[in-house]
Amino acid sequence: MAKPLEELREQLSAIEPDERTYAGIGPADVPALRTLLEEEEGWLAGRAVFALALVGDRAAADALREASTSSREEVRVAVAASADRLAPELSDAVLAPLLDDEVTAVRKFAIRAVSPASDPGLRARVAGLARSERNAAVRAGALTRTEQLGG
Amino acid sequence: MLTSSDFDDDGHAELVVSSATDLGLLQVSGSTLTATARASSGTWLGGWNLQVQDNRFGPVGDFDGDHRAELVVSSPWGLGILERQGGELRPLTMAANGTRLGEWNLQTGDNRFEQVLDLDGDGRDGLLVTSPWGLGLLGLGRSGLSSHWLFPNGTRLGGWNLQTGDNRFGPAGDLDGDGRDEVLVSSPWGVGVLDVDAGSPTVVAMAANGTRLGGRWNLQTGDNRFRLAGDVDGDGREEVLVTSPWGIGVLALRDGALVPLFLVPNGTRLGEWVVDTASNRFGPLADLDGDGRAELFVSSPWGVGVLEWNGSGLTSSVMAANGARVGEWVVDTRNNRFGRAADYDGDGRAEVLASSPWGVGLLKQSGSTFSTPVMAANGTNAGGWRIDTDDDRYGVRGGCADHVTVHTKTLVTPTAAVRTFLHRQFTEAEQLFADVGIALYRGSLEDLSADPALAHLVALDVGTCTLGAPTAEHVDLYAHRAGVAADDLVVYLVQTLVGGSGTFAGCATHPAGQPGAAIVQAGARWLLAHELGHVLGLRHPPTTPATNADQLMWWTTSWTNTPPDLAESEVSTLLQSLLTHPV
Repeated sequence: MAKPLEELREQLSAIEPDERTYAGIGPADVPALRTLLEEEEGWLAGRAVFALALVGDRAAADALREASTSSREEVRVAVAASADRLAPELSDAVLAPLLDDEVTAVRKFAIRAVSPASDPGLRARVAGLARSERNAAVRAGALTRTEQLGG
Repeated sequence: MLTSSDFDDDGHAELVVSSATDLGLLQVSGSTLTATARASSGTWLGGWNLQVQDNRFGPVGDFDGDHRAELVVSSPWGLGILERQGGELRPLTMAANGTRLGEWNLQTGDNRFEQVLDLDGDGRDGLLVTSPWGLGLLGLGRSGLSSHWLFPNGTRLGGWNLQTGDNRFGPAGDLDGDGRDEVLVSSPWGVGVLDVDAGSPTVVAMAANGTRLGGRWNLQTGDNRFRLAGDVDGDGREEVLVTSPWGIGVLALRDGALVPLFLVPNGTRLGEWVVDTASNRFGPLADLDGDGRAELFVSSPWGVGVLEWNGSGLTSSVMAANGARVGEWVVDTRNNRFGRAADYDGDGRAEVLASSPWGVGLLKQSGSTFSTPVMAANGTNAGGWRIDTDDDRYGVRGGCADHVTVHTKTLVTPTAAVRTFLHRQFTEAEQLFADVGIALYRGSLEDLSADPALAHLVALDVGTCTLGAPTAEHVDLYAHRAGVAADDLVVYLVQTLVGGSGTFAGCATHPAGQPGAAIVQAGARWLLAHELGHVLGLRHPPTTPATNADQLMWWTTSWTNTPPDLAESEVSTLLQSLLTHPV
């Protein structure tokens, strides 16, 4: 049964979240979580992103794919950081735009979320970032990830 | 004998008020408050450039002996003393850092100004200053502030070993009735009273921990808290209120020794008030009924009361439970804040300033209850100052014996909105900690947002945000401690905090030896205070009962009955933190 929006907001409002933060949230809560993506507080909108990734069904992945093009950097960062919780066939579409994001921190988390099961094209883009990424720390992260992905 | 805050010698104390953008003085006029002075950030007050967000206001004293109060203001630039001239504040004197005030080297970065007192009885207040170097007393001379005396750490004042690293100064008052103020000084060794004899300070009435003061009070500076001074019994000598986990006492200086005039354990009923130092908040201590004796205002989760001297001890003279209407004010200690008492209406009796989410009011003792001669709801135009308890800070904070210094480093461009956010976070944290005797000093603000090498840390990976388990990115970011002393705290403002459990609003995990926390720009007003609490050793309370949401360390931002509370046990933890230092 879907939780009322206010209850969901309260549940997600832990200052420092842990596994209990998302207890009992399921597919029925996706519409409310979509609403929370528009929350003024960026950290709370990001919390909704993580909750959607944990739900992980097609509807949640659709919401995340839309969120991956959000104008809010906090939301895109959260999508990138949580995408590895999705099944690969769902996460690829979410991660695709984020590997080229204009914001360094978004690319950082997107690189980490690419997995061995990801589309070869995505893995190749990580390898490319290991050579071309502007930020040295992110470039180093891409190189490490490329090695983990098996080149 | 400490000076009131009467800035114009009309017999009415004024109330210093500040907001995120303005500084002002409010005065009672009939049944209303009206601003007698007001200035906005950026205004030049004579030679002083007012910047509310980095100026520190207080304490208040009469430094030139003209019976009018002045306001001490310090900033990263230096120190000033502001006086009211007509409808404006103007510097009576000011000095830049590096100036030699007599022999004292002014450095507001590590000089602490908490106590104002007249040590020599000349009617002019001095400013007690401490630093890592030692202790001094600054006074106003013909050429500005100058040191009356100063002593480096290691000096023996009488038998007392001066060490500002662990000596705590205060409260101050005329403890022996000689017309001059003395200061209680405590340390991990014990207590003494700093007195000036023949122009030279010495420490008298020394007592080591474990001493039974007067054969009764067990002195233990580890858990005794010396809070307030006032003439409780009306004999012309001020006494010191002390509390401990055991109970409360009133210490008097008699025949060169501190002795308890009165002491009772927790659970004792003083009239109708049941003493419980774990939940009672003591103060202010002032003459609320004009009888020449200082009464003790006390609040608790039950309500408020006044304890007065009955010849042999304290007993309740006023009691008001939460929900009671006293005058026009509805008592609710869950969200009422009680400020310093002063004679705001000039009738010879002090009133207690109360504020709440509704507005502000003055509580005047009237027999066995309170009346409210002045009430002002939020939104009231007080002669040009718009009352807003959500944003205003009323009164300068009382002298604190302990402090923490918190610097800010931001990876987010410090726009006006960001600066206002930080100011508000600091203001709330300062007020909350000052209420329990801990001064929170704002240190430097460093803008790291233009450093491209740190761009990836704008969204900081905090892992599980477990204390003692910093991530590699914690290590990278927290290595940036330029201008920060070893035990100072740093708050890093980032855009996003990301961990395995999602996005965080704050995280207090830090590398060993680099104390600090990271926060994001959020609407949660006590976010900084919450994270600083973690750094200083506090943990979340249990999730039940629901009333735990009243606590600062509640695990969500949905605090109830704000401002949030600190339990007495939590205050002890804060004071015992190795990062909390004597002023």
